[in-house]
Amino acid sequence: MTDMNDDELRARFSALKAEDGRVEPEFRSMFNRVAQSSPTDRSRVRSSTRWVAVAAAILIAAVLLVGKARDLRREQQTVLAPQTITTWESPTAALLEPPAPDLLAPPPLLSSVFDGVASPTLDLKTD
Amino acid sequence: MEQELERELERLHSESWGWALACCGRDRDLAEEVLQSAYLRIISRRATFNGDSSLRTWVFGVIRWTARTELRRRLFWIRRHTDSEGANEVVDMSRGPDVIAERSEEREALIHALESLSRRQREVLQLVFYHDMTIEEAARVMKVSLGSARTHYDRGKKSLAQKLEHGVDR
Repeated sequence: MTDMNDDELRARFSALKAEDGRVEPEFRSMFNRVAQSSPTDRSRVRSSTRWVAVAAAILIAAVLLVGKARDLRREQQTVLAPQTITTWESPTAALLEPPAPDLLAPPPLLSSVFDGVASPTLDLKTD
Repeated sequence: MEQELERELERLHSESWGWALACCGRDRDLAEEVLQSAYLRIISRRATFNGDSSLRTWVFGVIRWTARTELRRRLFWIRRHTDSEGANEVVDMSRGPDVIAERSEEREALIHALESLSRRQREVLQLVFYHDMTIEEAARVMKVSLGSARTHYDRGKKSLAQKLEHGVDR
């Protein structure tokens, strides 16, 4: 157990407090220094707030513009859609149309067998 | 309103100074800087009093927060700019030779004993015995629960008394 009671501890702290008081800076001079730096600080806070507000306004305007542009584009697409579908042509469609389609066409099988053959005249007996 | 606040700060100035010293490892220059920064926070309304506690408790809370921020900032700067050996050296500067030389024997013993306690024990004892706060008020300043403050108070007081009677090494 300890013999030192609260009063003794308090007395020691009081002595410490008294010594601290001897090196205490003067309130007025300290406060004046603070008061002088305070307006600068406040104006710094104000100007930074202003910059934040400007940046926020620009951001909001940009978002609105992008949204508006997107809506406009969507509207245009919906108006043009029926026309473009009917008139649309594949960019490679020309490749599917050869310049001389007759050359590439397969010769007709039946006609080749009888090509140049004169049709026989059959003599039919009528007896 | 501002003048009223100024008057209150002036009334609390001695107490605030003692508390700033305690929060800064009794480094006078640092304590002065911290106290000035705390006043700046208060009058520029960066710290606002919402009336949950007494004005003194609130001002002490602002000083404590400012001191901790400043000490953390210094430690970070030191770690970035010096090696670990240098960092220890600069941290110990908070108890520089000029400060130590001024200490009377009894004061020296008390400070030495306080320094050997944990930070929270030191804080609660300082608030109760130096500033005559209740443990509840001390808990508010330290932002800990009442139960936790009581534990720190009991253990800290016992340890401090032992160290003052028998020396810090015990």
